[in-house]
Amino acid sequence: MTKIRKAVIPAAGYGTRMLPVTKTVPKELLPLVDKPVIQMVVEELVEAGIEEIIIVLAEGRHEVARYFGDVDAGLKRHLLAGGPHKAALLEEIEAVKGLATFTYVDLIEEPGIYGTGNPVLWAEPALKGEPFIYTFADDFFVARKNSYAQMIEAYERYQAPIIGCQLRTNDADYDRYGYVGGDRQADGELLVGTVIERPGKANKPGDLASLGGFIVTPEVLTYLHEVRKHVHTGKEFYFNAALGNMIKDGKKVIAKEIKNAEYYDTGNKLEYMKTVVAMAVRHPEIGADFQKFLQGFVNTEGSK
Amino acid sequence: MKVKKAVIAAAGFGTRFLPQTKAMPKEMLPLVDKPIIQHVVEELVEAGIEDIIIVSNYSKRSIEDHFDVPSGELTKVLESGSKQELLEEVRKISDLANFIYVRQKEPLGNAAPLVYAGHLLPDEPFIYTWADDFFVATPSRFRQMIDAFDQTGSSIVSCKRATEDVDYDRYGIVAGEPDDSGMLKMTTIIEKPGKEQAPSDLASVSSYLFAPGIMGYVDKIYKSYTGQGELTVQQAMQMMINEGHTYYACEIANGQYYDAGNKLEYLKTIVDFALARDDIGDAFKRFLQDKLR
Repeated sequence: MTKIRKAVIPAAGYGTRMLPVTKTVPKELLPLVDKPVIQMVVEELVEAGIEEIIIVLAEGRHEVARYFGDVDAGLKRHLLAGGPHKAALLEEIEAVKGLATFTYVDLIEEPGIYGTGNPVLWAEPALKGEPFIYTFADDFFVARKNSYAQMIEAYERYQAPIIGCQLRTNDADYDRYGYVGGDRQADGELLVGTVIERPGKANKPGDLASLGGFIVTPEVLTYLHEVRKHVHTGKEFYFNAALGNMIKDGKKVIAKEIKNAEYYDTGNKLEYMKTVVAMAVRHPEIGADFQKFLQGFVNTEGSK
Repeated sequence: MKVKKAVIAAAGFGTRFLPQTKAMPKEMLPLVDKPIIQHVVEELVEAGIEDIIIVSNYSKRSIEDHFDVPSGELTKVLESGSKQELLEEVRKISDLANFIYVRQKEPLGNAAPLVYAGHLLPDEPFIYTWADDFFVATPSRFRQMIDAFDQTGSSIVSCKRATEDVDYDRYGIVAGEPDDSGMLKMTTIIEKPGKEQAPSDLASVSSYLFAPGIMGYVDKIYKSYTGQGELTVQQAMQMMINEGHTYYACEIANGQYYDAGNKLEYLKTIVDFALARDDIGDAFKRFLQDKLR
């Protein structure tokens, strides 16, 4: 069996829900205190054993590639001249580049074609027929056991594509995520019978929402090409549709519930702010002071 | 003379936010969804400033792009997604003022931006401000400063009261005597004196409004600069005060000072901004209360 060594991260969106700052700053680079969101995802992938990370960028927008690239010479000089504290900082930021092998793919816009399926097809040449993790860069897990490691472990047992999932039962969630239903194999593991994108509460196939990324086998790509052929201009090209067709053909697809993990989203203002606060509280340098500040706020509000 | 120009110093490396500032200039750090520098620019514009000179360096391209029209691709995405209002909002950013960009070639100190922008600053008053700390005040901080200038014709330094002991180690503290203007007429400004040595509790923060004449003094200190130490506006200001020019310390009234220049203060700032918003303020407040109960 092929070991999972590669991951694909799409970073070609326009982040319009975070405008105006995303006019020039890609949403994947929005700060969580002092570290961009995408780095959280990359670090978790690397910890799970991923060696090569393929990032799909919008043509001409290469800020993410610059971030994982060389430290600018001027900044380097400035830090080296600034004493031991700044020299240590330089080491830290140079380590960002060495986290993994980064491969960048330009996604060239096709009028009217958008959605989660597209970046995978653009990344295909870099995948060289290997299975891989497909995950987004504006949401992530903070887990006691690495979420991608949980998915890889399930992939190794089932030898089938994996849909990362968590229970989501707020009414609005059913209009926001894809949901899976199927036959329980083990605790938190389903043989998927249905996958529906944004089913709405009335049509939900279950309560497991697809939100932790995927492990994708080469066979899924064959299906994805087939889906692409039938996408009409202006309709979304869903990655999940390929999995749906596989299931219809009687192929095995597994939904794996990510356990012991907290999910963070940064895709809209409110969720972004909640995530920033959660990361700030955990921050080694400012966490304690920030917590104190928040506590003060809540105490004042409470007494009003 | 009407104040129409402002200079924003935006050439720092922002090392306190690394690795994040490897990806974006610290001036572009978002106050929820709006870059800090846009917030400062909007405050300047609201106070009547027309020309905004941004002194930056080669790593700050995204600032220039932010104050440009949106890219063709973004425009297309917003048009096809029927987000006309949002498109209008991002387009308007480029019309806020006349933007003029100058590169600071060497980090010589806090007067360096004025050295490099000198040719754009003829003999007229202008505001000199940073883009990582600011006030939220009513009327705005820049309006209060311009009013004080209109009233006195003298240079104005925006100030806040020191509230914590560390403030005396962090800011320049001003000394002087109150006069008819109701403001402190400055005799000196002492950088980071410590609480014991501080001549008052008025700290000079964030911005200056310089009356005509300052650039001659900036020239003077630059010409005598030996490469040792830093070239600071405080040196030029002190020289002017010594030669009989008037500076007033203007305590910004009815407002709150935000220092987004370090991680903790930045975080506090964005929490305040998120709470004050119409769209997410209530939901965010509930989140904080739940989280901390």
